[in-house]
Amino acid sequence: MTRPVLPRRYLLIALGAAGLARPARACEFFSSRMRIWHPWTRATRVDADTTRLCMRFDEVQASDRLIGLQTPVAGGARLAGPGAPEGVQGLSLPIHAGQELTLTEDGLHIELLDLQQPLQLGRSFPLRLIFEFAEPVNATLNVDYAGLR
Amino acid sequence: MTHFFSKSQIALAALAALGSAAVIAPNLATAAGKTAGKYVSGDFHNHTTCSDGAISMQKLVKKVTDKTADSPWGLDWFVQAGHGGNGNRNCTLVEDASLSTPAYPYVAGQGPTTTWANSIGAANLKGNGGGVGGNGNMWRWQSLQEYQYPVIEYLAAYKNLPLFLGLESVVAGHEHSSMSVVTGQMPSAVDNATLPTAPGYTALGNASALAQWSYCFDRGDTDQSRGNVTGSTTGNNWDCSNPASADSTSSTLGWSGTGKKLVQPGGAGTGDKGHLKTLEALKWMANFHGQASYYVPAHLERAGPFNVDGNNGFNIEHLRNFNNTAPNVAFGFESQPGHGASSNRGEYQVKRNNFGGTAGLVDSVGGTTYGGTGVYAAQVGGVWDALLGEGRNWWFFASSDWHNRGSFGPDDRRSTQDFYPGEYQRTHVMVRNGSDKLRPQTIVDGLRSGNAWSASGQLIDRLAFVACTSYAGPGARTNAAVEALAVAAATKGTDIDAVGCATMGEKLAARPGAEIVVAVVVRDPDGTNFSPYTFPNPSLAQVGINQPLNKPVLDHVDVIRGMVTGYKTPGSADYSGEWPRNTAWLKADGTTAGLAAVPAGAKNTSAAVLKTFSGDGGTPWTAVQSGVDNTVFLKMSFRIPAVQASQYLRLRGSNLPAAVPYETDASGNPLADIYTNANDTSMLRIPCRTVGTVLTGDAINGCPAHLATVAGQKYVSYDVAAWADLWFYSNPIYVEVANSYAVAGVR
Repeated sequence: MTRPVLPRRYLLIALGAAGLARPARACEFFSSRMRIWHPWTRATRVDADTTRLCMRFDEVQASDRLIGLQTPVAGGARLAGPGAPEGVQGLSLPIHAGQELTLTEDGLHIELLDLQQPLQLGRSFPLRLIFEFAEPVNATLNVDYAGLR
Repeated sequence: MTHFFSKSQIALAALAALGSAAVIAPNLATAAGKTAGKYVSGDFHNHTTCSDGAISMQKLVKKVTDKTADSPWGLDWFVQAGHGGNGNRNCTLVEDASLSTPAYPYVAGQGPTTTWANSIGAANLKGNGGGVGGNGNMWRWQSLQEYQYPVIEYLAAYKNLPLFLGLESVVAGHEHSSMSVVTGQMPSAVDNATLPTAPGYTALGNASALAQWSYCFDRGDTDQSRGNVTGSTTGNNWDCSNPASADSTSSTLGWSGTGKKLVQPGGAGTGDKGHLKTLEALKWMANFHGQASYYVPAHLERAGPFNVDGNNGFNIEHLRNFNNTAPNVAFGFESQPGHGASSNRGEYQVKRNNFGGTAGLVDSVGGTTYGGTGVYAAQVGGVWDALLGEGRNWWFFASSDWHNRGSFGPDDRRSTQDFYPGEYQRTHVMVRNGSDKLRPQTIVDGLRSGNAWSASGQLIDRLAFVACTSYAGPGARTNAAVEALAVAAATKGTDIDAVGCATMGEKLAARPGAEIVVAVVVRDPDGTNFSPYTFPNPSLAQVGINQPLNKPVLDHVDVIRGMVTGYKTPGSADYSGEWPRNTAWLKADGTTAGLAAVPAGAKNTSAAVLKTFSGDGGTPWTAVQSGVDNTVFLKMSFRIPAVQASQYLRLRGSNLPAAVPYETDASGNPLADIYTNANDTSMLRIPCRTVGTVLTGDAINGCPAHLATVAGQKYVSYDVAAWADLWFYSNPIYVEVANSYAVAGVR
């Protein structure tokens, strides 16, 4: 299946958003193998079913794999964007020791599916990340930007 | 070549700093007449979208300072902070037209999450990574200096409010500290400024000193442009060197000739090197802005203990180093963190931090908060008492750390994350402004003085805490006389000014054998607090007490005393001490190991509850009606006989009696908040059973839907946990007995 080409304006906005600062509060979460940095998304329309979830994995001391997530605002998730495996449901995201992995709006990201409610600007929600090896991490999903027009 | 710092090298640096410490400002209790002042409430740790908050500067100032039905908790003064480093969102754009001002009107299609690039344009972003084609981020130094300061000055003038800018610094070698440099901010000319009637405002003052500090010393600021336009020498051309400290340009600490600053350390020894850089930051403040700045480690237990190879927490030796280096600047901590409505109160958590290697995941120090306060201050005899036991000027502050409402919108009264500044926690500071208005300098002076106290949930809203000497014969004082002084002070919202008496942050000189007469007067306000919940406190319901969450009642006041035995020597065995990690302190069942597990350097075993007052206990307080406004105050007093040794007294109080299951122990100490932290539902213990009919708004009469629920049962958690569990903490009064140890930190 051919992936849609993103409009230039969208790419420019995403570029700005992708450079989100290093927030100083508990936007950092730790498993025994890595740090998970600032999960974020955009506000959604009332009728939106999906949204893009971005975050960064760094300080990776040992390889692991993100294999699932739980959040009250969505019923499921899958990898999407460039590099995402075709036709694969669910999550299977390898994170390699010594490397950083940043999920971005215009690059590889997680698509939250079956949104249970509109995501409104400025709010935050529980986000439990499930790994293959390390214990689950209770993180926070932040709705940081207005939705794209 | 990697350079490691041994503990002795760091201790020597601290010793050198001690020798060069700035003179401590006088803090005398005399009858020569203190400048008139009042206790005023404020907050200095909070965030907008320029940082990782959720709202604009204008909305935050409005929510914090208004005293309306929507936000009734208006503070008297406010420092708008935000983390150091950089950000890509423009917090000076308001959310809607209701927040418009002539100088900063609402711009259709834009708001506080609009990026700088999409508002001011990338060409106006400065420093490394700025400009067109850059990364779209604005360094905090630029946003403070060029965008945020004009807004805050304008709002201060427009609303006639005491506002200024601060920072939640990302600390080299550690986590975070609340700080500010007020030099340049809010000049008196602002009082009579002619404000624009059209968009745009040119500030009369500036936050350039604060901006420079951010550039020079914040760990998140990796810019090396010297505060200039990208790729040019046009701009601030800052030089972060300090002629008063040779180490300020140390190559070992990473001095960069390009950036004229100490570059962030990395790799092995990051923590040690970072700590030394932070000491240079304090020396800079002390040298250039010694009376105009403050530096207060924030949520200092959250990131765990100190990590030699990372940027984590603070051990007691680091706090001693800070205070030794710059006692007029580093004079306390926020051991009562914000994030009070979070799934983990304070965002303190078991196994929160990854120290790597064999250390693995490390708890926040103490594992959780204790009644909303970190273990360093909550544990009687712990770190705070250890510092007071040296006679240091080391004060306790609370803050909101406001970011957002969690799953609720910013105008909702419920929260699963933070409270607004002033809504839940309030720090009350004696500010001696005489007949002048409140200004940044007098507010900073007040913080430095230590004449301050903090309360959650408006448990009390007035406090007078007084200690006076009494000698046989003409120098005798009765309890009634000292109580009268305290009553007069409390009812007027001010403090005492009497020979032979002292209050918080002061020291009382006493001859051996003196009696010390201690009086406390508080007001437990009538009516409701700012809680939106009207149903009975579930924590108290466990012990048969029916008390609405929005009408808390002070249960008791503890007077805690510790002995003063002088400053510890840097490098000595009892100068340092890491709090026990993980289950060596907080066990799986939520109980703690106790002070026996704490190393000598981090505790003061002489500290203990000396007296407890309550409404109907063995030492009851007495109600007295104010002659000023007829409200009811509670007065109490006692005598300490025949003092021989220097000591200090401090207060705490709660709405919870002793032995409330999962809240307080048999002695009234707060238990770990693990039993009300929703992050681990297996540990939740206090059911919330009230079924309500009104579940939104400001008069919610039943357990709200957002509480953690297990097997169909709601449990006390999130904001309800905070509203149920209220405390106040005062700063200490020192008693310096002649021929005993000097209270060297207070003059």
